[in-house]
Amino acid sequence: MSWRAASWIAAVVVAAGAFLYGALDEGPPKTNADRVRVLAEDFACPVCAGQSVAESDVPVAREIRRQIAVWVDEGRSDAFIRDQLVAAYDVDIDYNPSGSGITGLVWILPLLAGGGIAAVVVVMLRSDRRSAQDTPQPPMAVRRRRWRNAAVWTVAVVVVAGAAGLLVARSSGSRGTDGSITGEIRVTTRELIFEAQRRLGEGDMEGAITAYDEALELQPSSAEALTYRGWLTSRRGDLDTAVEYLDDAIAVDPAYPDARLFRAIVALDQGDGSGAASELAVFDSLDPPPYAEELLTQARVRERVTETRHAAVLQVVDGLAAIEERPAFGETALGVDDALVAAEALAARGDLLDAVQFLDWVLESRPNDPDVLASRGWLLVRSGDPELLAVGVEYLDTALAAEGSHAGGLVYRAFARSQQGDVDGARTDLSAFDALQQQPPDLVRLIEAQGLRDAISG
Amino acid sequence: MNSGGRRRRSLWIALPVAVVAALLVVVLATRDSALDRRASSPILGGLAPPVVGMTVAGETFDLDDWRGRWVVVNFFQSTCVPCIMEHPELVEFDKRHSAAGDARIVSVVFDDTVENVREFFSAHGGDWPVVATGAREAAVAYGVTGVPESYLVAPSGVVVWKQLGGVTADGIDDVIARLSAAP
Repeated sequence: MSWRAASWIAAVVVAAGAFLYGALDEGPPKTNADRVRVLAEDFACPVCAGQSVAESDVPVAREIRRQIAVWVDEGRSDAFIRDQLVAAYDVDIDYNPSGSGITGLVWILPLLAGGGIAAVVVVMLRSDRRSAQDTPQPPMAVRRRRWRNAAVWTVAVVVVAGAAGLLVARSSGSRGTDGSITGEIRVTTRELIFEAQRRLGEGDMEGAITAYDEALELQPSSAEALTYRGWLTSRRGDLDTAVEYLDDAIAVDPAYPDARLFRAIVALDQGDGSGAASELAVFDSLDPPPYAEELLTQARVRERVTETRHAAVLQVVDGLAAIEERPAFGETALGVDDALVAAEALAARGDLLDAVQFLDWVLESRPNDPDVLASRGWLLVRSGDPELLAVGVEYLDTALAAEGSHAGGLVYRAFARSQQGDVDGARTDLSAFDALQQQPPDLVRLIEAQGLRDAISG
Repeated sequence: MNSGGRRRRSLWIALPVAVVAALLVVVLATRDSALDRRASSPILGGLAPPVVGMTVAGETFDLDDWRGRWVVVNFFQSTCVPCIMEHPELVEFDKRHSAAGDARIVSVVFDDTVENVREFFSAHGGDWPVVATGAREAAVAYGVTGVPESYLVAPSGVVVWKQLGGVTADGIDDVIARLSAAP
């Protein structure tokens, strides 16, 4: 083959290779979400065989992914993230082994192997050249022309390859078509979330989802974007995916009320009244903003939680009632919380006597439980019957004797004393309740709804 | 080519291959086994990574505030059976040391909800701080791979011991006694 032909082939191969690289290579990460994915793929799941942190769904891999997202959103460098994970999990977590120490040999060994093989090839070629020494040399002019041609074509190859390289660099850079010259991301997560909210206000759910997706590309650990992306996903009927988004949002910011509220609603949609009640309890403890309370009211979340939980426990209670010899409460899988909800459900159904008897059955196993005692007392206090009211106060006294700062006991007794005309006693109980470090939100709402403060203020 | 030349060529090819193979053996032979690596931890012997956050009781917590005491940093999950089984041991350990205040426990929630954790402690006892917010940062900083997992931090603030799986009160006390007696 002539030098010219060989050079052209080389040029075509180099250029084609460069363009192919440009076409196939994804280039550096364009967004934070890209970076999180790329980084997660670079680390091994510490407890899985052959899976990266990006691939694995075990809890530790999920936690590492979330932490990587937080670091990336904080603007930490890849080196920082690598150092942190290696410091905690050792070098084995890193799919790109260290270049220093004995592990560094992993990088050097292929070079050594390549060098060794190249040396062998050189030795073999020299050996072959020695055997061809008898071949007559071409004239000097011919050899000069060959060297000149070789130089010209080599330069041509370099120029073509360099141009191809520039084209590749331009097409695979981190800037988009509207990117600034510095490559910075000019559209912020906040702007995208506003955009999503605007589209949502216009009823454009798909547009809003797209905007939240773009926000999450920029900032994967944005609790707000995760929350609303999850919420919109749930409205499209994909509850499982919605739960993933909302759980991620809660993991990023456990104190974000919107995430708790939407998680409660999705739990309700899944028929999980207990899970919804848990989320609602956390929501209440977070001092939620007025718009969230409004949404809660509009969606009848409290009522639905109560209805769902009541339906579930009533099923269990009715099942127990059907058993001829009912087991002791302590021998069932019911917890005290379930028992209290069951009693409320029975009372709400109009079966006050059943509710009281049910709590008596619980008290046989837990005679000094202040929660059960207070609930039993409250059932009687609410009956409106003066005799039952007096018995109810006795139960509340017992509950408070067992636990002097029992929030329910204090509030229920304040109501009872108010009904009995003992305004001072009611005030004392209410003051003790107000002095508690944490007031259960449902009791606060009960006091407001029933106007207890007004009733005993005069 | 004569047989001597072929032998020489084979030697040239075999030599680099042998060198590379020998180096690979050296690299692999000097590594710990996978099990050993899980039982050890790169944070052992170093200053304890921070455990900073909010507890399930709504109070702030900073591990550094407990410098000068032995601290058991316990990562747990309310639904994990080994965690439930180890819990009475932690309660016992806390009981032994609560009066003297020489050793304390801080639990760190791992992939769990605050409500579950509150119920867990209500049902199983224990009133030491349980960090919920900031728990993920702590778990990743300690290199937690599963629960329960515990670390013992010396009064100097150095992580001196790691336990994969459940701990016992006697076991932790033994470690403290051994390390306290060491010069």
